[in-house]
Amino acid sequence: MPCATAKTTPPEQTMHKTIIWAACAASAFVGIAVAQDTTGGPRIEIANPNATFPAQQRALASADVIERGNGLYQVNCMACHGRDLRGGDQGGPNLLRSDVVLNDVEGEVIGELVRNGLNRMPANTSLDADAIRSIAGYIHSVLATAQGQGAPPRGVEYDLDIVVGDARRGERYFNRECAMCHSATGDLAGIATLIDDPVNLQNSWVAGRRQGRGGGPAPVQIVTVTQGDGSSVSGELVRYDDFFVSLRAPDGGYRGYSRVGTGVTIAIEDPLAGHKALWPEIEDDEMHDVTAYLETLK
Amino acid sequence: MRLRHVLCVIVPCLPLAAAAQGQPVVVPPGALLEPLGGDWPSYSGDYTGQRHSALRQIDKESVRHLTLAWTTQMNYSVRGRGGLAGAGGGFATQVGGEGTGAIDVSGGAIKGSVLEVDGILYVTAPDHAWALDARDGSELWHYHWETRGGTHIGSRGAAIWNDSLFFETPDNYLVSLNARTGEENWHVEIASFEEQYFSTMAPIVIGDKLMVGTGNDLDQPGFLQAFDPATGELLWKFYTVPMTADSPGIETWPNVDSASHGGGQVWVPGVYDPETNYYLFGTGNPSPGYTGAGRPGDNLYTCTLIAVDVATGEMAWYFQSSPHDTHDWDSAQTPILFDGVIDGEPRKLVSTAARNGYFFTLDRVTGEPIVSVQYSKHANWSLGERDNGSPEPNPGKEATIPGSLVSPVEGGVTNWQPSAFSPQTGLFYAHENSGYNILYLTDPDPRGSMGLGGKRASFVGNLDSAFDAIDYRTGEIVWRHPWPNGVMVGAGVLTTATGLVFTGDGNNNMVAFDAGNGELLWHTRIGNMSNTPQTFLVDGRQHLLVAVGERLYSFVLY
Repeated sequence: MPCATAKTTPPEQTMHKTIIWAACAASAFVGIAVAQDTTGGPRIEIANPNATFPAQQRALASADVIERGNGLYQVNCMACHGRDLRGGDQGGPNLLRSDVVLNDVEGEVIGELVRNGLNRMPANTSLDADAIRSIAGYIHSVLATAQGQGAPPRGVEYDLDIVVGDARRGERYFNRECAMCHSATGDLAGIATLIDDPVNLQNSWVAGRRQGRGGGPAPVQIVTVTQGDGSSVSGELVRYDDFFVSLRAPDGGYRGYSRVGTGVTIAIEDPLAGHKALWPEIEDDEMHDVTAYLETLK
Repeated sequence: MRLRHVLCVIVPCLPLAAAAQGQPVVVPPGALLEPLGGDWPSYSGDYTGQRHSALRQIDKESVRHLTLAWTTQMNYSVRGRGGLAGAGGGFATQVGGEGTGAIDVSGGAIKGSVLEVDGILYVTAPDHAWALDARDGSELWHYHWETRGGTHIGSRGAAIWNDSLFFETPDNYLVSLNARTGEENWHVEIASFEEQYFSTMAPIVIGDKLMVGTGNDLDQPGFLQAFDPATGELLWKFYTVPMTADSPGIETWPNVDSASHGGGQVWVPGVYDPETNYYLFGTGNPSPGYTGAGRPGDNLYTCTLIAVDVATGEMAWYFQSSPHDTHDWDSAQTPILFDGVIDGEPRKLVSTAARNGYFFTLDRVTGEPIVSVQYSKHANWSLGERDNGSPEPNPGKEATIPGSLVSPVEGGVTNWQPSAFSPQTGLFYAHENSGYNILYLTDPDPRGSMGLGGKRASFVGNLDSAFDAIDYRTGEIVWRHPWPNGVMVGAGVLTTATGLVFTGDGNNNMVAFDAGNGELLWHTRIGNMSNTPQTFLVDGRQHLLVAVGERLYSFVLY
């Protein structure tokens, strides 16, 4: 996917990352152009709605121009508008959602504002047309990497530690609420090694099914279907609604039953019942404590 | 305007114009004042939003005899002759638009209301509009809009004023077609494509005005506009967030920059009260959606029920159903107007069930809050209600770095799919979706993120989702049908004068309940509906219509 590379760039290599941003934007644009060349061909899905707006559709300036614009931006604009263009300490507004930037193509709107100033922004007559085109080219190259649903470009990747709970409190909670089904030395031994991302670990233990890499569906529910004559069969629930139930019997066979006017009754054993009972009750602090405790089970 | 349209203007479609001579207009605007009856001429069928049909052929006994009259896969082909179910002789597909034709949107579920007038159905999807014969589903005309792009998330339907049919496009045009032929009258731009607006709302005709809303995910301000249906001229524009330092509501934002990038989009049709001449509608979430640090305050008038005077576009009253929302829980759903009795006094009321899990009843003339109740069993984001009826958000349930376990999930307890009301039972019918997710703050920047960025939402699971019949006087749930496995349902609701409630069950069934007690009376497994069941008469027979993705199903009693 475009711009995945930016994520792996160390945050301190800001210049380097900026260049990658531009390169990503260029490749994203190529992708659109290719799609547009297939007129009359097969159906084209708009898979990335983000790419369907002008800020992501338009051709980028050349790499040289963007690079020059980047330098000029840092000298002339960054103090107020921020390194990431989302607004800075000096109170300048976020350029990535600015009417001026969004309605600009190659510096014609931005340039007018720069030359005349606006509100607290002083007029700047020292930048010539070429410089303004370069700055605009740089701003548009960043905007082109914005993500879907209005989300900004991938910028700084924060190293966020979600393990903030108290492991000892978490252990007490675990022993009280979880130990009837789970064991730190049994099914959960080494769980923090098996699921080495704390976010996935927390998501998995709360949901009761493994999430993220190696994740899978919820554990199978067992259904017992009793028919009007009193006979019953139990098996893995395939599907049910108010009118129908189906199961996989122990012999591997499939059985389906109408529930409309047939006297069929069903009873379902949900292995996640304990987890579902937890969701409305557990406090976020308790959740973080348990995650901290499970993190000790390497 | 492109050449083919110019031709149609110069030579004004003579045979078709002649065909129209002497015929009554398709929908005179005065007809929209009538309660929902034999036709379905507007988004909600009538101005109340009750979605309560007076038709009586389909009742608690006969509902089990409903028969599939026809099913039609919509024709998204943009070339060649459409019409008359491919039998030839129909009108060619009409093509308009400001795009180059390079973006081929040949699909998209039917998520809007279908209009039905005198045996003709009017259907929309993003970049497409059709007329079908309601008797057999044959296509009469097809209009395709060549788009510039934009978010193609859905089209909520069309509006008809006299002989003109109107719909909005994802790249922000209001298009007027000849309802009889599908030929374009005109189109006007209603919002900026550069600023990343996209438009989905079904326009609403009120007299000689069209109510037009739009959408946006990039922190742009929401607004409702009124257009002249004859010419496309803009008559007024009402911003839902403060745009200047002296705008009302500015005290609920840190500054004008934040307020004027604060969202509050108008993407679902509202309702109309002819006695006050108020149009009542809901607004979307504040922006940025999940990172509220940069917009401390209540963020008026986002997530708010608003009454505007149709004559002037001035706000008459407001009620905020989610102050300072931080969960993308729009309150844009269609409210419902009805007359009722509160504490022994007859009252003119409006009720609404919001995505945040609250049910509200207010005086629709004054905006006085009467009922403010969390009807969702599981919603866990509120600290209770303020004196003015607005819920008080719990800041602890915003996205946090170590994760916040939040119910409901992003889609909400309800959403845009319309709820319904029955004046006979006095009950308000709404889905109650219950699920949990863990919200992680991934962008702790104090400026806040942008749009819906800055968070990660990890789905935990759903449980206890149900369909509820709610007493408008108290917000109490009178009957509640839990869905098997607690599945969350995205389906609209229809009630009838014969005591039926139609909706979807999230397990691919359309179902009919007894409105009084919640007993299930009928179902058909046609797939999960993508719009809302509707009913009308065709040649004196009551039909029941619903869309499943790109396909329509029409049921009838013979």
